[in-house]
Amino acid sequence: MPNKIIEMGLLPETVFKILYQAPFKGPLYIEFGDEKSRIALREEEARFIIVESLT
Amino acid sequence: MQQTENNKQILLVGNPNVGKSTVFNLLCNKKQKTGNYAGVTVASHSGKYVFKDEEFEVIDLPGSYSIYPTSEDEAIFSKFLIDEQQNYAGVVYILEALSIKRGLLLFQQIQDLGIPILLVVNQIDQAERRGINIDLEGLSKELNVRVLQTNAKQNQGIEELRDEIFKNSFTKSETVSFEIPLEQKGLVFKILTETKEKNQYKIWTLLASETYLGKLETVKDQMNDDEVKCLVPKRLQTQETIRRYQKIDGVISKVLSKKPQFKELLTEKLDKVLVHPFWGYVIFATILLIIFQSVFFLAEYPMNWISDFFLGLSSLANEHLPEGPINSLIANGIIPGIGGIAVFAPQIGILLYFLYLLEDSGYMARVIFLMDRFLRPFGLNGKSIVPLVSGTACAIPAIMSTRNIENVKERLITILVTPFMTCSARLPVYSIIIGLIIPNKYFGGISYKALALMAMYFLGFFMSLMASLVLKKVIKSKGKSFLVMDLPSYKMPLFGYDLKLTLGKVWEFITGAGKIIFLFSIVIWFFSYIGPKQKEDEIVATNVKLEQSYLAKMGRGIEPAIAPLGYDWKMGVGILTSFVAREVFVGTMSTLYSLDEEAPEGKIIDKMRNDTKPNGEKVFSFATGISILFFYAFAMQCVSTLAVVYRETKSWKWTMAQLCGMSGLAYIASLIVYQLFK
Repeated sequence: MPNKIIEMGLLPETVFKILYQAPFKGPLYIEFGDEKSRIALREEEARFIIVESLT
Repeated sequence: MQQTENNKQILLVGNPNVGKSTVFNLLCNKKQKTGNYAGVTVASHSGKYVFKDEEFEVIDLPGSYSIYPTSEDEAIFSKFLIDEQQNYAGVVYILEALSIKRGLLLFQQIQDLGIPILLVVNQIDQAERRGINIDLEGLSKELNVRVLQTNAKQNQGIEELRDEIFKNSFTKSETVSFEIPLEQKGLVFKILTETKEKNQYKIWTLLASETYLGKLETVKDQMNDDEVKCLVPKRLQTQETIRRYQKIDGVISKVLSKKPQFKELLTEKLDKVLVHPFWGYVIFATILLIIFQSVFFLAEYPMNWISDFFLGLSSLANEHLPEGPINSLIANGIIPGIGGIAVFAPQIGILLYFLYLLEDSGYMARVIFLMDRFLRPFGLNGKSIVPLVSGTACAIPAIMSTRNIENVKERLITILVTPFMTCSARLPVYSIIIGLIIPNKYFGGISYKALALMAMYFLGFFMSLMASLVLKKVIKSKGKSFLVMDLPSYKMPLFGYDLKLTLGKVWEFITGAGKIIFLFSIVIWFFSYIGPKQKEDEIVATNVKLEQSYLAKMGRGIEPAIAPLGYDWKMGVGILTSFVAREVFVGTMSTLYSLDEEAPEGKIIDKMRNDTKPNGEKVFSFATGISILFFYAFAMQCVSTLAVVYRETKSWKWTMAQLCGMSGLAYIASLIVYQLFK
């Protein structure tokens, strides 16, 4: 798993929001954390994140 | 800590996008340069400033998130940080107030390594505007470090920073904030006692790093086989990162207070449109179009001034210098040669300036986001779009910027195909040839000539993709490819700073090319001046007619090889000399046509246009022209680029493969094209 995801602060128990996705199953644009960091990551990288939806 | 003689060197460190370059720029008002230095291939900036009569050197290292590198950039950073400890006084660590949490990870890692460090919190006003309050004193106590505040954009806090550096306010931590996890505690302590290393975190990094931080080998003899087998460096890194963030959360809760919601309104609004699945691409294409239009139309006025200036200079030289070959060399060779390059300065400048502004504003990250999906089938990464686009200015900085591409194969492919992008050195050649062979007609308001130029740009881009496809199949895959990239908030680019960078690069281009052209003008002139001896008692004949010179002999020598491409011996000489640098072609043609007394009068382009073969046909026919265009589009004709490729790939094999592959392709393509159109 890309360590980079964690290094950039997307840690276990962090709340995040998917804002956009590039066309043809392109990368995801997500926003997370208290500092509202924004990162881009590919679908296959995002698959490593286990998600619990917050509704 | 050992103090060396020259210990007034400090390092600027921090995450990417925190404003390091702004701080760097403000600190070093004295002298700055980019590129290599001190035997370390770091593509970063080093600069100097004077404070209280002492000189300080600042090295701006590439941005990084953690001491464990994932890309070449980050590896260089970590290696330099650790290996060069004897040479620098300390690290100035820059945190952006809005992303303190993320920035503290690397900060604590460096602190734990026992490296002297000083903390700078930048852009506090931005945080305050969003209702976030940071207690700097508290931060200083919690982290055990001197904390300074700056507002780099407003030039605040820089003088205080210089003062603190002068007072050597760096603190070297005696303790380690990271707690070694239980499973590895025993191992770490065992190695600690056996190697007499005092710093447990240093041992930990040896176990947790894979390559650049000093190798596992150095401690392997202290470990037994089972221990080595259980070690998965990446897992240790993950553990460390998670634990560190937990601690950081604790620190932040004590030091940061904020009102509940803050919204990054501007970035949100802009991204709705800029990253839109349809409009995002339309806007990107439009921006590219605007840039290229500006390059060619805005640049026209300054280009004419420069052209007139050199023409004037040339006739001045002609009138005032004594008659003879030197007169001809200077007035008709060197001056027009250099003028031929200088005239492109406005175009290169405008293009570069746009690119710097786009990168600075944060927009390029969105472009990468948009392009990733489309570049991947070619073996490239979304991040490759940046070198490809900046390759339209010059391949050299473009190739150096590939260091942020983590995957080795993707990076190699990007390096190898970037030179196919139409760089500014090709423009002089394209300009002249298109001017010669394309008629002055218009299609829907756009001139044929402009369309032809656009077509050349597309050709370069198309070829870079095709070459990537081929290389994708040929190069072995190694390691994972990934994108995971920060999308910074949009910010107003630093217009002045970027302008400074642009002018610097343009000047570099002109003086670099200028030196080569100057040299080659002399070389060409010399070989056109002497020829095979005509009388018995000579070694060589001097002051011969161009047709009888050694130069002509060389050109005719390769004529059989280039005739099928539609070239005559003069073009042959032009191509030979351009293998050093493409723009030399124009200088060479200038010199050749100036030296030829039988050539028609006037501007170089008119001379070329009116040049006819013995049988009356034009030398620069349509077919020949197209052939030259294709040749210059594909051939590797730039010694400087080859040098950078070698430096970045560290491989003779790939550098030579690029040289031969591109040149071979150029030969075949020109051959086919000439035969088709003649």
